[in-house]
Amino acid sequence: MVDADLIARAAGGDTSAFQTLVEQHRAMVYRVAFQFAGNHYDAEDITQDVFIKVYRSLPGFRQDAQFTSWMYRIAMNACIDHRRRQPPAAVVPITAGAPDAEPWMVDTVEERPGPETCAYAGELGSVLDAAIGRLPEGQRLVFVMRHHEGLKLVEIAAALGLAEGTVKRQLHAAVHRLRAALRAANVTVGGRV
Amino acid sequence: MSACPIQADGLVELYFYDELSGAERADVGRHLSACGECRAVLDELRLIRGALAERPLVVAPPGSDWSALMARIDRAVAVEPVRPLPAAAPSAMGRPAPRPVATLVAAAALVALVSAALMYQALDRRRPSTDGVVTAALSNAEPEPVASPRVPADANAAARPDAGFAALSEEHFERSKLVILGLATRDAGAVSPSDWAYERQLAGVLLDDTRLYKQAAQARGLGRLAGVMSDLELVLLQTSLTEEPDAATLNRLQRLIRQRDLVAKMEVGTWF
Repeated sequence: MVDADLIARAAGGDTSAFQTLVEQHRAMVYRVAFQFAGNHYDAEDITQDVFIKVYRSLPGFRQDAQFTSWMYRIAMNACIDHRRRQPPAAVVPITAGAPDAEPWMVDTVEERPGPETCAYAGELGSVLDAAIGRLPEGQRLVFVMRHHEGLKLVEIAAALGLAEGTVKRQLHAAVHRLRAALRAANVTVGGRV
Repeated sequence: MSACPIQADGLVELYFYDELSGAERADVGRHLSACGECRAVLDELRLIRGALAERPLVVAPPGSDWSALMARIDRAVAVEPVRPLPAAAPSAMGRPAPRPVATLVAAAALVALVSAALMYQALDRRRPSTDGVVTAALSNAEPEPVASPRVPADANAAARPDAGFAALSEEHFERSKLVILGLATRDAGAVSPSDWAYERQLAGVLLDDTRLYKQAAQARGLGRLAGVMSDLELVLLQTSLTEEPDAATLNRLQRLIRQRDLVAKMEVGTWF
């Protein structure tokens, strides 16, 4: 629950209040940004964009609205806007935790799997990470927000200004591609073929 | 391609993600008990969920060191136009003194905006009144343009219609027309994806600004303009998100442009 007084003070230009808001929400924003972008470089850019937009938009924030939902909306739009500014060649696939990922990429986890974690699940996760990184941005964003962040499709549709049916089709297409990636890697339910 | 219509329609995903109504969910549940193909899809979805749940959750920059990113955010916010503190928030609450440069920039922009508006008002006093504020899904999610900082409500009313904002909006419409007219005038049956690649790329570039102008129009009570910006935003978003730039997609975009009457609405000067 975000303190309404804190929001009001930040909206009024109190930079220390705004800094507190950033500290309270930066992990959530960074998580979304990283899941979408797949690398720290872009995740940091997106996170910065989000908080600049939050700062500019705070005076228009309705106190009866959910602050977290509002932040999600800004984060989603920032993800798309950021991707739009990138040339196609600059898109970096999601690689965190992949076998060839740089060591520092897994140093910042909230919950790292222990050594007892099933290696098979880790292998599947690598396949899926790579497949998510190859999803078109619309599908990737919808999948990330529904699967990882747990937003309802109607919320995602409202935030992106899309029809709910369009978002459903994006999710269906994303899942279809991920399942195809599993099959291409010879992974089936119950184990590797 | 799946032979099962339930699976082809994406209902298994919706079942999995609990996006169906009670009756629909019950129907799909019954179907799942009888359809091996759909059960296999459901099992794969569970597999995906389980595997992704084991992945590292990255919630911070490398080394959990936020200092560089926080410094970047601080620097970016520092050059934003300074907002006045609300009356209830005394200066003793720790707010640093306004940056002189930002203050001067904001003041200069305000003076220029009001001056331009007064000149515009003197030149054209026959402008029709504006509509009410348009309600949109993103009504408070986006910033106003940096080029047009907020002004106090009374000054805003006095300055309306906002000449500086009108000029910027016209310029934005001119650029956006390249996309809208480009899409609207193509023969969907005779184009290749590369023929309208430029429109798709430009749509993405213009999208952010369109949101900003929509918000700024809403903030100024320019409901009709905000409505056109909202229509434009929708078309640009759909265009930029195009994954299969085929004839069917172009047809769909053209229908959307016609339904929103966007070509006519974007004629300069018709929306103030």
